Amino acid sequence: MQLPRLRGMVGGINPPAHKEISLRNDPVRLQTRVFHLPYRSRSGRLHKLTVKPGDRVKGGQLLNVPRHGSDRQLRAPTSGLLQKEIRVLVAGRVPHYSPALVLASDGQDVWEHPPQPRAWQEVSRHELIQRIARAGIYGMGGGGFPTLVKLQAARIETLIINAAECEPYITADHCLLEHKSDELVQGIAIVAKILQNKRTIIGIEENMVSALKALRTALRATTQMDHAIELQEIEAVYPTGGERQLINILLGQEVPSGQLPTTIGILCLNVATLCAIYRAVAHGEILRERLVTVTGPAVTQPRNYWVPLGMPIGVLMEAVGQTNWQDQNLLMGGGMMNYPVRDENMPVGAGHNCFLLMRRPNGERAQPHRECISCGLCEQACPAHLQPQLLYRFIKADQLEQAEEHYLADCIECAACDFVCPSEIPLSHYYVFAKDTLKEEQERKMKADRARIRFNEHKQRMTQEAQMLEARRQERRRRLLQPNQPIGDGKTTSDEARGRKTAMLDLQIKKTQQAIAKWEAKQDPAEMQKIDTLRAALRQLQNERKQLNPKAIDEEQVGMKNGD
Amino acid sequence: MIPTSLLVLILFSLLLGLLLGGAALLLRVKRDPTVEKIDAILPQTQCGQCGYPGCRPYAEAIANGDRINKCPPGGQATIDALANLLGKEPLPLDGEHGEEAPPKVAIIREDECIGCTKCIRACPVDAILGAAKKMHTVILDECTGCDLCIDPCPVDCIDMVDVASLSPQVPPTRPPPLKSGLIIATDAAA
Repeated sequence: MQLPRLRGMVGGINPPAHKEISLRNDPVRLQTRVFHLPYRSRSGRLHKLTVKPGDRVKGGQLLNVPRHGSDRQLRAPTSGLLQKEIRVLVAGRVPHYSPALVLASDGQDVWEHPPQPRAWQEVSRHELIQRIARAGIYGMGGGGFPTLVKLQAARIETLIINAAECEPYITADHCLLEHKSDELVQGIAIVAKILQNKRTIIGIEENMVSALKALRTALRATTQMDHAIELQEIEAVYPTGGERQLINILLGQEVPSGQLPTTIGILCLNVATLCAIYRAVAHGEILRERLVTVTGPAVTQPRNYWVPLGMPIGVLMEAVGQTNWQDQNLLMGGGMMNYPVRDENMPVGAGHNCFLLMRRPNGERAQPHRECISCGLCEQACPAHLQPQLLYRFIKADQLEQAEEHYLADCIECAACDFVCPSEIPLSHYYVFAKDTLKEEQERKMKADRARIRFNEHKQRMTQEAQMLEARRQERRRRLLQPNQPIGDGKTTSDEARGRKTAMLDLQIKKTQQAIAKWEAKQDPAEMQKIDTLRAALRQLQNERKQLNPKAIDEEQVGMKNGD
Repeated sequence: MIPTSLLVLILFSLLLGLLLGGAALLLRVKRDPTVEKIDAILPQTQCGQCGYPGCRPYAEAIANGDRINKCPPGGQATIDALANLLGKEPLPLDGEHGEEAPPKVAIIREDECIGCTKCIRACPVDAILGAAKKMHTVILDECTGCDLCIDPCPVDCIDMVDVASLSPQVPPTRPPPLKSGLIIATDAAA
C-alpha cells in the first residue's frame, strides 16, 4: 500500500546530504581477529561477568549474569581466548570509560549453538522474545534503548519502522534497505506477531530512491501479515528521523513531554534493529555485526561496511585504509549530531551507524562564537517547539532552573539551531552542557538527602546505644553496692557474678583495713570513734563475704592479719 | 450616637480580627522553616569542619546569626546560595575551616585493614560496612567524603580519592566563550 508523501514537520533544516559518496560502492564485509567487549551497561552499572581474562570462550557463550529477563545478555562474538582487560573510552552522547575484555579470535569460529535456520511462524510469543533476548539485541538507531523493554510494553496500537535516515553522510540504513529489504519485512512480521498491533507504518524519506524500490519489491512479495504494511514517504527534512518527529509526521500525534511513545501506544523501531531481530529469530544468530558507513571528506573511498561488533576503531580504520586517521578529526555519528572519537581501542557498538572523518586536526570542536542578535531563526528551525535563543540566554546567565522550566529536557539535541545561527553559536553544546549539569546537580541533591537521613539515623542510634550502655552500667553499680541484692538477674547465681562480687568485696575490705591502719598509726584519741565505725563496717563486709563464699578461707587470714 | 453602618463595620472587623488571631494560633508552623531551608542548601557531608557536629547544627547556628562561610565542602556555590536565601553579603570561604576541594570519597585498602571497627563508629552516615576482625569496606555511593574515618584508623589504611577519578563519565564541558567585540556575522570578516 502506498500513500502520498507527507509534509508537516515543525521546523527542520535542509543541510547538504553528502549521501551519494558512500552509496556509490557496494558494502564490504570486514574481519577482525581482536574484539573489545565493554561491559558497562547503559545505566552505568557494570555487568557481572561469568568469565575472566585467561578463559577460553566459544562463540555465542554467555559472558554475564543478566539480573532479570530484559537485562542485556553479553555473548562472545566468536571463539577464542580472553587475553586481558583494558579500559576504553566509549564515545557518544555521554562519553564514558568502560572496562572491556579483549577477545583474541582463534580463527576456528566454534559456536556453542551453531546458527541454523529455525521455523518461527508457529512458535509462541514467549519463545520469540526469548530468542531475541538471547541475541542481546538493543536499539541500533543510535539511542541504544533496550529493544526487549520496548517489545514487552503493553498495548501497542501502532508500530512505526524508522527508515527516515535524515542525518547527512549516513547511509547505513539506506544500504541495508537496498540489500536486505526482505529480511526487514520478515522482521516486521515477527515483531507484529509479538505486539499484536493493528497498524504498521514504515516512514521513509522520499529521496532514498533505490531503498524505496527494494522495499516496495519486498513488500509486494510478503503475505505473512494479517494487516497491510503501510509505506509512507515523507519529505526529506532534517530531523525527520527523530522518534518524536517521525511519530508527529506520520500520525499527527504529539508524544507528551517527558514520556515515551509507548505510553500513547506507539512503538518505534529502527530498520537495522528489525533485521537483527529477523536474524536472531529465524537463524538463531546473535547480534554480531552491523552496517557502518565510513565516510567524510578525509576518506579516500567512502562506503558501507559490514563491521563485526567489538572491532576496535583503530583496527577498523586500518582495515578501511585510513592509517592517518589520528591526524584527522574522527567523529561518531552523522553530519549534524556527532561525537568525537578519542580512543583507538573503542569498539564498534550496535548503535554506531557511521564514522565520519573530517579534514580538520583534532582539537576543540567548536570555535568561539559571536553574540546572539535575537534573529529568531533558531526558533523556526527547532523541531521540538522550543525557544532556543531564550534557553541560550538562561544557560549563559547560569539560570539553569529557568532553562529547565522552559522545557530544556525536550530538546533532542539535533543541532538544527546551530546550523541556522548567523552568529555561529554552538547552541546544542549549551543545551547538552546544561542538561548534564542539571542531572549532576540533581544526583548530588539526591545523595545529600540520603546522607541527611543516614546521618540522623546514625545519631539516633548512637544516642540510644550510649543510653543503653549507661543504663547497664548504673544497674551493675546498684547491684554491687546493695549487699542484700541477689547476684546476677536474681534467679541464678552465676559463678562469674559471684567472682566479681567477691573481688569487689575484697577490694572494699582492703581499703577499709588500710583506712583503719592509717588512723591507728596516728594514735589520735579524738579519732578513736572513727576507727570503731570503720571496724564495724569491716565486720559487715567480712560477714557478707562469708555468706557469699562460705568455704573461703581468706577471710580468717585477712581478719587475723589485722589483729581484729 | 454611632451610626449603624459604623457599628456593623466595627463588629465585622472585630470578627475578622478574632478569626485571623485564631488561625495564627491554630495553624502555627512549629518548626523553624529557615533552618530547613538552610539545611537543604548545605552539602550534608556531616564532616564537622564548620565546628558544629553535622550540617543540621550548623544550619541552626546560621539561623541564629552565625557566619555563612564556614563550609569548605559546599564551597563558594553554597555560600552564594545561602547569601541569596538569607539576603546577606556573599563572603569568601573562611580559610580557617579548610580549603574548597573537589569532592572525595574514602577507600579502604582492604589488604591492610585489621577489622578494628573504629572507622565504622566514626562514620557519620554509616557508609562503612564490616565487623570486628573482618575486613571493612566503604559503600562508595553513600560516602560523603568527610574524612572523619581517617584519624581513628590505627593502621592508616584509608585513602581519600577524588570522585572524578572514579566516575566512568567524562564531565560535561562548558561551551566555548564569546568572541568579544563582535556583534554580527559581517563583523567577523572586518
